[in-house]
Amino acid sequence: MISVFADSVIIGAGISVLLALGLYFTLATGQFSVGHGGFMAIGAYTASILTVNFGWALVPAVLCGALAAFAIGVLIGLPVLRFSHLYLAMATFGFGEIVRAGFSISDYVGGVGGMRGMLGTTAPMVLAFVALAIAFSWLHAHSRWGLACDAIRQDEDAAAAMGIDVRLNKVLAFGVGAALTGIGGGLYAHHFFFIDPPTFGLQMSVAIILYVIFGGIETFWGAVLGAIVLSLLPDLFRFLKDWYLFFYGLLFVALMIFRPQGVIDRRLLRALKGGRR
Amino acid sequence: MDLLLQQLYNGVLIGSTYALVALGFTLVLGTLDLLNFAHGETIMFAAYAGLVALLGSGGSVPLAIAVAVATGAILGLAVYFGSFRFVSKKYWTAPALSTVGIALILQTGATRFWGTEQRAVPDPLSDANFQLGPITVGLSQLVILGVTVALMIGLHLLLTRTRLGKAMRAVAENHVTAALLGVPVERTIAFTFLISGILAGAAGALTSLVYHTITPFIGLNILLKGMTGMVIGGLGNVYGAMFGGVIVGILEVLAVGYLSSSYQDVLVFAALIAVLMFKPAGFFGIQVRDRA
Amino acid sequence: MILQLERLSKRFGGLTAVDGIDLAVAEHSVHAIIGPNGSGKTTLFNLISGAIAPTAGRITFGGARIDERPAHERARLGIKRTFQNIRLFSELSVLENVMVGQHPVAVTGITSLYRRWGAAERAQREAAMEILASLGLAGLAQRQAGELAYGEKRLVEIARAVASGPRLLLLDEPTSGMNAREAEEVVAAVRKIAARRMTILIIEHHLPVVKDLAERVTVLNFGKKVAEDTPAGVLSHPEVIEAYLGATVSA
Repeated sequence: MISVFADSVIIGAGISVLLALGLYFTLATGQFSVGHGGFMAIGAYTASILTVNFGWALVPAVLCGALAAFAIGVLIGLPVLRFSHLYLAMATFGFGEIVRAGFSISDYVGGVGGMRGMLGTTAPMVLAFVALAIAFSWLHAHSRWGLACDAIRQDEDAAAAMGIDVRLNKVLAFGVGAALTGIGGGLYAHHFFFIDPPTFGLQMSVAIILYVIFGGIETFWGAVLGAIVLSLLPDLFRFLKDWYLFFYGLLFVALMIFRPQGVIDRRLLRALKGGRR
Repeated sequence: MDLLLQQLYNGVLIGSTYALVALGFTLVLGTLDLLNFAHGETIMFAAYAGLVALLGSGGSVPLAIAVAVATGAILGLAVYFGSFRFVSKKYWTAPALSTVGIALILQTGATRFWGTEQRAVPDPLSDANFQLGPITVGLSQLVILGVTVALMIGLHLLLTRTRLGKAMRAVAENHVTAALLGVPVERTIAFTFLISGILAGAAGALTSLVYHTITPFIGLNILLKGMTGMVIGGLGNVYGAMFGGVIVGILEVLAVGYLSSSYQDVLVFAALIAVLMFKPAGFFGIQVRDRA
Repeated sequence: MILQLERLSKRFGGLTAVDGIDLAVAEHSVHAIIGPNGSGKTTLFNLISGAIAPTAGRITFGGARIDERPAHERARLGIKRTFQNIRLFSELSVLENVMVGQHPVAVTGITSLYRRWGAAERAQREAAMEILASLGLAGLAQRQAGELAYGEKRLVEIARAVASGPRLLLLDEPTSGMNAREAEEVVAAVRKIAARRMTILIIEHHLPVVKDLAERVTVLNFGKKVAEDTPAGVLSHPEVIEAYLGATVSA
């Protein structure tokens, strides 16, 4: 049977994949969010409240967390629709911090002290969620919905002139991306037993961003690859444990200088597959 | 009323240091459309360097500020090279993401060198206090205020009276036109990062003197406050940033005074989002340029 | 009249780009808009396609008022366009660009996730390939749009615009920046489309192209309409000559 350690590694990687796919989905419409940690927090706390305070089973609780994150994602997506990249980055940055600060002052969820007692994730459960998320991402990438998102990312005005409802798609991308990240958050809480507001702060948002940009920003497979590789790194390289953030930082800089599109780009994908959509 | 005046004074004091933060941030943003996420950590790192100098020299505030400023200048150039000079602009996110990387490097470096515990920043001038009407003013506070005002005036003179300043404003307006007019664009950009770093270094020394403590984790918070100040004043607007920074300081102090200290962050970030939503050009800014 | 503009105006701050234009375009016709640079032609297109909103006036399409509808709805109603500075989706393939062009008539929402294997989707793809073939672009289908030659890009943009079978096609300077051979190909393509009885509104600087293709010509200057007639009639109109060549020198 798989050892407990291996189990934990698989669950950790799986959760990272969900988080990364959530960011990728929003990014696919050209909206770069720097505050996805906030959606992770919403998913985590919602699911935790339901299991710990109300005795819900884990899966429905996680899905509810996803729903809550979706709703907030749409709420955030609406006003930032017309923001340029700069303003979007700042607004989502601020959003992530407001969520963290908000949970810090809320005694119901334990404030700065955090919430504890969440249990119940198993490797098969996490893998099932991951498989569904990947399947969804694949279908999306190969559908006209995905094509529309891609068009929006490249040229919003031309996309609108082709009949694409840019507003709807962008808001939906925020919502769905938030939901996926929220699922990751719910599972995270129940795997690590304890969560507190700083867990979901900028460092987490930055880690999620790194997963996506390292793996490759041009396709969802990049998010999957980046999440798996980078979340396994601290486990594979013990000596990195204390310095892993430093290493992440170097990776960011090196990537941006030498291969800003990440490991997997369209060209590589085409070469690997020999055809598209 | 007396309390309110004291609060306002404190707010302006802290706000003036935030103004320096916002200024450094807005210089780079205005010239390059670049969000320098390493700005907060630069400030933190420079503050630590200043603290080391302060302790090592037995309490010399001028030396501390000088060392902090120098550190900030060096880090500013590091950001120039690591996040701009050698980074392909083909992916518009690349430079900003690289600054995130530098921020991570600086933060882990700081925690490794100086530990994660909070440290006290001694105030060599703390004994001298005097009354200005209903307001208690500390000598060190006056020094801080003096330095920030001097820096702001210096920046204003630099931008309006020197060739470098004119070059900076030309490049901020339009790189291509500036180049065609013979402005050395690359060099000017490097100088912009340098000056931004100098302001960051000064902000680091001064905020740590105002707060009397320092931790390796203040960078993010300061960055957000600087960002909020910049947005309130209007992106790319130097004088707006000064105004916005002071407003943020006042907001923060009033929040702590009348609500509770745990609410100060929420209030400031809510202000950020509110301004972005309803008045994105800030109070003095130009209309937001649309991305194609 | 499939398209009617009534006293249509657009002001940008102090600048009046389009000033009280009345225009009626007959269905199935090829109608040209000409005028010097800065006369408001592209702004007019932007108003019709919905990229910008008018300051005053009405736009009626197929009998219904559309000036308050957003751009994507107008595309669905049957107005498609090309852009003066070719705006293809450069990272997508040529075929994918045309498929985006089919958006108004394809199944595109969340249900599109599983539709790709259905008969309807297959038919759509074949239709997209047919359009490419009819313009001689079939061989380019899998090429990345950004890598094509300028003339090829323009043709792909036109294919993308007609892919949804629009009732009104707006072509913004389709031959600009082209050499004679490329321009010929574009003109041939437009003729083919016109033969399918699509209404075409075309902005053009090349007057020979205008004479060749257009049944009716409207002339703009400083945002106002200064003449409207057949190509021959318009080109001998004194105000038109003045607009292009400046005031006539009195002897």
